[in-house]
Amino acid sequence: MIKHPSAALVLVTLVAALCTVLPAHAENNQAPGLRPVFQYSASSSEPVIEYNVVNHMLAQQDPVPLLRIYGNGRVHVHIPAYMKRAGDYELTMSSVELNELLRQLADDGILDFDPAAAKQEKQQLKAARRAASGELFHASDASDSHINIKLAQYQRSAASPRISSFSRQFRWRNLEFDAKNIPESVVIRKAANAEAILRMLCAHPALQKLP
Amino acid sequence: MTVRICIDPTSPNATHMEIPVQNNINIYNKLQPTTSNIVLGGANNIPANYFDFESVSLHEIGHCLGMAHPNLASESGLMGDDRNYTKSTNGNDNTYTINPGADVITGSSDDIRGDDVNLHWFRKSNNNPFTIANVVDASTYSRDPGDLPGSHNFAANAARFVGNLLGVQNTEAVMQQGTSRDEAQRTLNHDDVATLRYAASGIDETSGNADDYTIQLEYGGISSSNCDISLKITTTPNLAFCSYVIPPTALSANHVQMRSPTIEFGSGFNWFFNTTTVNQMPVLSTIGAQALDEGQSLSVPVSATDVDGDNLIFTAFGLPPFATLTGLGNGNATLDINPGTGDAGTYNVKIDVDDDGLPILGNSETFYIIVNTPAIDSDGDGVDDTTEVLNGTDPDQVDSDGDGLVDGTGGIVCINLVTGCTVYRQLPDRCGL
Repeated sequence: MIKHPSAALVLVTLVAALCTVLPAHAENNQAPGLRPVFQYSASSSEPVIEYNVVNHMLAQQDPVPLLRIYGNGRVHVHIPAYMKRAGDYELTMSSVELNELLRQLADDGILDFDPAAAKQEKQQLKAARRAASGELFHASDASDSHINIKLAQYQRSAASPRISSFSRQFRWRNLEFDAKNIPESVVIRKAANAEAILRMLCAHPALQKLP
Repeated sequence: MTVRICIDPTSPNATHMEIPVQNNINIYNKLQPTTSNIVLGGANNIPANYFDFESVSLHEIGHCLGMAHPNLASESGLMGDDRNYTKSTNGNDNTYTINPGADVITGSSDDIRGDDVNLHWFRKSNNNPFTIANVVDASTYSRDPGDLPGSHNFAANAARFVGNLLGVQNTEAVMQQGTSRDEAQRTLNHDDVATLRYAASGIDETSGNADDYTIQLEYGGISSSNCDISLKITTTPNLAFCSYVIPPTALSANHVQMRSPTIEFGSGFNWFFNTTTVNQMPVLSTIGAQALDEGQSLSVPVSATDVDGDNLIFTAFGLPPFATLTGLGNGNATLDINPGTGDAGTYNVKIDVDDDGLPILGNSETFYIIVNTPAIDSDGDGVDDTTEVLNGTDPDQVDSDGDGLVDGTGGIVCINLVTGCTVYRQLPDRCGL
């Protein structure tokens, strides 16, 4: 486990955040044998978790991801120059915390996300609403949420196969908007919860601004 | 059609949003096409690394009024400059065909777009979105490639690089997707105006008949009452967007209504809130101090001008009861002053002129009305009694030139010649000296 003076604070705050954001997760606690297993390199060069938001209204998007979490527990937050709190920040997570975060993302379906199925569900739900109420809803100038996960090995549960060199790229357009407007979609709602957790981590009070 | 635009009272920076939103309303109500509407860097008042709230708001209000992006934009799934191709479907092959043609400028008239079906209204006569026809309807604008000028391949859109190609610098449609920090785009381009005017030609897409309409934006203030479009800053990760509902019943095959439009701006971004108003204050012509005697009358013309052509309203403060201010319209008024006996005194008066723009701006002048007690001239010689006493002449005897020498008999005017310290008096015998 990586030692860090703020580790306890990070864990407490993160767990509190998860409970706040997604109270339903308390019901999803799995028995120990069913808990997912994650293995990742402790390298500081390749992020285990990467999160970014691509804003369509921006003519020049800052290409650096908002959040990168490395296997050694280093959390790097990059806030673009055009945003409040602009700058680069870091904190260090323990392996327990990183595993807990990965478990949360797995519970939220990010690691097993099936974009085709999710899009189909969205279309079906929109069509059902159109049939019921006749209404369509639309948002201009979207943003894309990107969550990348890279693991040496991932096993969803004891009954699942162990996947080596696991890589998942989650992409969704207007995730927060869809979660609000299509609340019937559990997949979208949980993915939006995962994004909310990562956004909260980007604003974590233990982050130290880099010179 | 009146569209009431409000700022959500729960929004952060609600008061800072007022001037930018009022400016947007002025711009949409004027519906004036402009060029050079992109103002960058040191030429604008936006700090580096800030987004101009007013410019982004102008774009999002456009969406909430029903305008889409004239370019393919991000909803196409394309990246970078490819998003600047003109709005279209992706055709039967479900893939956008994108080729910039010989000029290598995306979105221009020589683009080769294969089976993509154009969705952008272009001006039939020249396919130039930096110009506008006098009449905007289906007789002058079209989406049908068959209506393009002879040598053109596809509808051009008002992207800035297309503008450069057509000799119009620093100009882009407000509805073109994409904004940069330190970029102001606070006025509409020809294509923005044409799109709104085309819609206003009604369902029959013919202007000049009964189903035409006009849009008048109205400022509802920081309020949640009776709002058609509401703006607020939220925690959305998006820079900004307009969301709305399309009701089930379409007006016709190509015409829909929108409902419940709301605009959100991301609180995480650096926003610059412009404090300079589009509306210009009226200019009041100088009035100056007004002096008169009791019993006299004075009619003082008051006038003001307003470059925005707003209606002007005059208001007076501190007017004495014997004075009235009457508005005459067209920036003119009259101040009538009719003091009577006993009204002598000095009165501090202020006249305000206010326009009816957004926000209401005014100008004023404070001046004195001085009412004097009329001078008494008992002998009617034109020299008042007080002066005669000072001159040493009899107030009851005529001193028609006021030189201190009472006129002599037979209409002789005695003249007091003063040269240096020597006093010469003429006709001393007839002047009683």
